[in-house]
Amino acid sequence: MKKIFFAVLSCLLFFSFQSCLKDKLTHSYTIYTPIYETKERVTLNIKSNPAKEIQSPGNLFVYGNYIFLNETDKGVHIIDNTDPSNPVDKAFIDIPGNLDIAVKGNILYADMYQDLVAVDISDPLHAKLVKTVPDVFGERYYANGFVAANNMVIVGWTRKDTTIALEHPQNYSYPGGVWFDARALQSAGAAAAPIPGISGSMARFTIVNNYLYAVDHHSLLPISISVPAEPVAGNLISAGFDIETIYPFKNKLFLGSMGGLYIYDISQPGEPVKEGDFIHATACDPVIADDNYAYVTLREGTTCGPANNELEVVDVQDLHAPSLLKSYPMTKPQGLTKDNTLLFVCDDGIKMYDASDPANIVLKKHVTGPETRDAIAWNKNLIVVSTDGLYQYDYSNSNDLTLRSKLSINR
Amino acid sequence: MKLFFITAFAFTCICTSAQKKTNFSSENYAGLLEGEHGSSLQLQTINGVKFNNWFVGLGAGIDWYYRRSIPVFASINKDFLKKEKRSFYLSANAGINFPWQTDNYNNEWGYNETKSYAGLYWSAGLGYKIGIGKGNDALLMQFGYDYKHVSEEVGLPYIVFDSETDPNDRFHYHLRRLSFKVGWNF
Repeated sequence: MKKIFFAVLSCLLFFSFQSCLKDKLTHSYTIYTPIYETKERVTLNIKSNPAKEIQSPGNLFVYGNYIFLNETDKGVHIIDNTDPSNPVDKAFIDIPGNLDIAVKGNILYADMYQDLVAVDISDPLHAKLVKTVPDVFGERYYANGFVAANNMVIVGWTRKDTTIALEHPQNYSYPGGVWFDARALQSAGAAAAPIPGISGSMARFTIVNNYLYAVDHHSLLPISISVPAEPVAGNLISAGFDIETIYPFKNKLFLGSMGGLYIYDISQPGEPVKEGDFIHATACDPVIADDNYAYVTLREGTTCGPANNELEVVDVQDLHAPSLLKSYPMTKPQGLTKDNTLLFVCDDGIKMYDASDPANIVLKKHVTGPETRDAIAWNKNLIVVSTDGLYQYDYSNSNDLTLRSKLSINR
Repeated sequence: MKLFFITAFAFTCICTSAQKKTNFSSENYAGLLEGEHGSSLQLQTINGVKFNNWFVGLGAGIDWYYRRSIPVFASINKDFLKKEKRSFYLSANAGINFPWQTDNYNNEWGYNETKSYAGLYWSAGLGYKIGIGKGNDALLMQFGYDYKHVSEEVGLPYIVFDSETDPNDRFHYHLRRLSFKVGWNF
């Protein structure tokens, strides 16, 4: 009897405690709150200001002896590259929200959130704003339904680390703060334009003759710059889904999207017409091209999709029916650039290939190092943007890469 | 972690100092964990040495509660109120709780998990032991409290931050349960 009483008591005690037990779930994250400035005050500051440390490099654009390097969402570094062995960070143009740049003649075009700004860089060290075209580009997307205020520009963010207790998942809602849209930040770009300058393969702006072409997630926008200081936006063209990059070659535009490669004919510059496409697995995929072949790197990842990491060589001799020539396995490739028969791929450092036979490209040199993002090969000088600096290599010896300089990034 | 090694060290010392009186002993449990997130199964095996009224050992198990995990721990028991082949015993375990799954998956908050981390594990309980047969075999029953911690580093598939920010959030799960388990001691 005593034993039974004890067992029952134990069970009662056990289950009475159950209601007192509560799991503790916490969620630690960072809240970002925008810092606003009026558009008037911001535009007054779009000029050559003292040089700033490079912290978050985006796309680059080579123009003569100068390198224009985007500082993600902040502006453009002006780097005097007269001596590639000793590049000098000379000035910084403050352009909040800037992701993409392109240059024609003496005018640098840049996005400032939805607006397009034209900056006179005839003297890069005394650059000045000449034109702002409002509402040219689509709205930035933010999580949590955040919408930027009218006539105000976000010039920075305050961050606050926060930990909250969670209730049951079904009751959970994000408490506040602002997050950036992934691809708006990740696929920032400048343009490749053979005459006025050279840009990287991650470009979302490009210039061909008298037109600046810009892409967003699903649109292609031609902007007339026949009067360079007076850009005029044309009609927005629906171009597909998840478009990330644009690359010009002759009278064609190659648009890299997460789902494939789109080719547009720009014989009528103000009215690009889709000529063909090549669909591939979902991935992040900058593209470059020449007369016969397009080179596409596919990168898998959380925001990119589950594709294999590889370099695809696509035969574009028949623009209406591009076809895969060959794919090459890569580690986690990003931007790429080509100079004649030499192909450079940002992948586990930088890789240099002999691509004289696209069906059998041969690795000539692999320089391992930090994560590289994009590159421009021009005049035997390879400029590489990486997570820890802006590197320059001499590739006059087609079997080797010789480091010329490194501009460090201060994170 | 420290606690685990200290206990392991103590276990080794006890074994060394009490070699003549010690016997190998194994406790193997199956049971239920009852908490805010429902009931779950648990399995444990603890192996060590017995001397006088003490048992010291090292254990491991599988814990299916909320986030499946593998607790690895040091264990100590003290028998009391012994009467013939029956006795009560107090038990305490402490160690590390290792996540079962470390691959990417979406958690129920809509996040894509990138990494899971191990956390603290401890439990304490009151047991009752009934000796069976002529040897040292015994049936075990134990009620107790059981705590485990796991954390996940996660990222949203469609959200990323600028270079100055940390793209990953962290979820911590401090899971408190009542434990009821039965086992076999030999």
